[in-house]
Amino acid sequence: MHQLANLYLLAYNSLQALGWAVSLSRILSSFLDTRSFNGAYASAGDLVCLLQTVSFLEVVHGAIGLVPSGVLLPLMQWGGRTHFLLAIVRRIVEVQELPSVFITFIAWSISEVIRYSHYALHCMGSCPSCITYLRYTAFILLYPVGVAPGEMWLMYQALPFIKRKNISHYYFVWVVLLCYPFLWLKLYLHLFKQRRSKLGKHDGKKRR
Amino acid sequence: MKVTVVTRSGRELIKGGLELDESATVVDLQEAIHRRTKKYYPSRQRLTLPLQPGSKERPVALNYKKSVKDYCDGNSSNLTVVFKDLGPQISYRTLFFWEYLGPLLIYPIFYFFPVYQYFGYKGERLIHPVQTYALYYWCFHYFKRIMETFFVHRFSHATSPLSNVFRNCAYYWTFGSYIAYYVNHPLYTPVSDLQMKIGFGFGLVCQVTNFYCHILLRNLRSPDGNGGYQIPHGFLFNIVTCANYTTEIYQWVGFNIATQTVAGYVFLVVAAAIMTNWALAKHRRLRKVTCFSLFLNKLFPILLHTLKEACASYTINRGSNSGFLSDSSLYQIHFLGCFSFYVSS
Repeated sequence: MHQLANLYLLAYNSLQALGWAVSLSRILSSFLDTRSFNGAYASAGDLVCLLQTVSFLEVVHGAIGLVPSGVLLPLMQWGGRTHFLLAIVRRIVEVQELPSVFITFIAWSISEVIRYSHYALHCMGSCPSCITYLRYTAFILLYPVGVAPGEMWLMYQALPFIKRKNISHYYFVWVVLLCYPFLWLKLYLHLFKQRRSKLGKHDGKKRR
Repeated sequence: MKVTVVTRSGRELIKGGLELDESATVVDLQEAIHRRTKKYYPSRQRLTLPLQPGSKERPVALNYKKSVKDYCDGNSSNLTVVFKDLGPQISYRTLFFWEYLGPLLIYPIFYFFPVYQYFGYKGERLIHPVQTYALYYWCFHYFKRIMETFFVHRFSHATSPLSNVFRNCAYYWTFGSYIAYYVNHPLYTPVSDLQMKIGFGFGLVCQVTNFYCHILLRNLRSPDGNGGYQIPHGFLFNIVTCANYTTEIYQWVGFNIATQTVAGYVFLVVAAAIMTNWALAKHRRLRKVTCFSLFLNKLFPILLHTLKEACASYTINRGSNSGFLSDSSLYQIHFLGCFSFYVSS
């Protein structure tokens, strides 16, 4: 049973890593072709939506105890990202060509490729130290970039359009924007703590 | 027989104890206590058997239907009971009436009166048909609840602590205002006509089935409230333990499909969480009382049940006991609610 679960997780993480790698390559090639920052959603939007929706499985994994991540934290992270993606970017066509979408997708794609590769390699046995290093270091730059000029800037730009579609959602996004820095800081510091514990001891046992 | 009444700190509440007939019931005991201590009327009293010091068990509460003799061990006609003051009590009927009256009256205020000018929105307010139907739907719902409180429900515990009035009214009245504010807002954008009809239609069907569930539950109990815990059966109760909560939740899903406000969805999530908690407790109680095997699920009975069984066997093999699905009851996953939000135009 344990083998089956491991195989399943390996498959899941590999497919996600592959999916995010494909979306990263699509975004980069569209950028190189057109030399503009407007094509991110057009080139990879649907794929990113699919990957993000499917990643709800990670909440389920935590709920049933398949992985030790718990439920609440993955649920909050999934909820925040999915709300941003489906309720704002996908819903409001007018913001899909903004450069903030490009920034967000790039930040997400790079972090997710690293993260899922790290998990998948763990399922196969052990993870090469360079990937582990990347996993716990790349976030230092990618995370603030993805959140501030990425997600928050896009939400702010989307506000006038949201107001026209649904007034209650408009106020909700305002509240989200006000809370984001605090929630983000908490997660950011938590990742630093994890970094210290994972990268601190090079010869200690590495646990996912 | 002699009954000694002590408080939980060991102090004798009634000096010299009480003299009762051999045939006295717990009700008689409660009335005797009330006669001696004017302010502790029967519904305020919680009487339990004394526990051994250091015992971790829950105290045994005296059942008002039994006779006092049943609680005396063997020979003696002496009994000691531990008294706890539950505080001022209010009947459930009164409690429900006041908590449901708020939404029933507050919502129309936002619809009919020019409240929004005080929030800075001057000028005429255009009222969309969906807002009018939402008003009818909402008011019908709370009117139905009040009618059920007086004519349908049979309550096992007649009373509730008075403090619950403030807590429950705050919950209902605040959410009522929150939702009413956004649905009737001057800048409210309606959904498509079809979606509105689907939402309200589905919601109404659920309200009717919810009413039927209440009727089924009522018939489990006799008119004087003597029913205790029985397994509901028939209709939707064959699939879920608390079909009345299921239909209530889906009824709100219908309302939200038609109106699409964050306020409505927040209320849906909170209400569903509360009802799910109640349902799990009731499910646990029923399983203890009977050996009947039930499973509770509100969305995809077969799918989630299989998933849960598979994962339960996995977690047992792993030796861990984590995750909320490891209990014998299943939780509800609101896919329906989430997707309905994204489906809107």
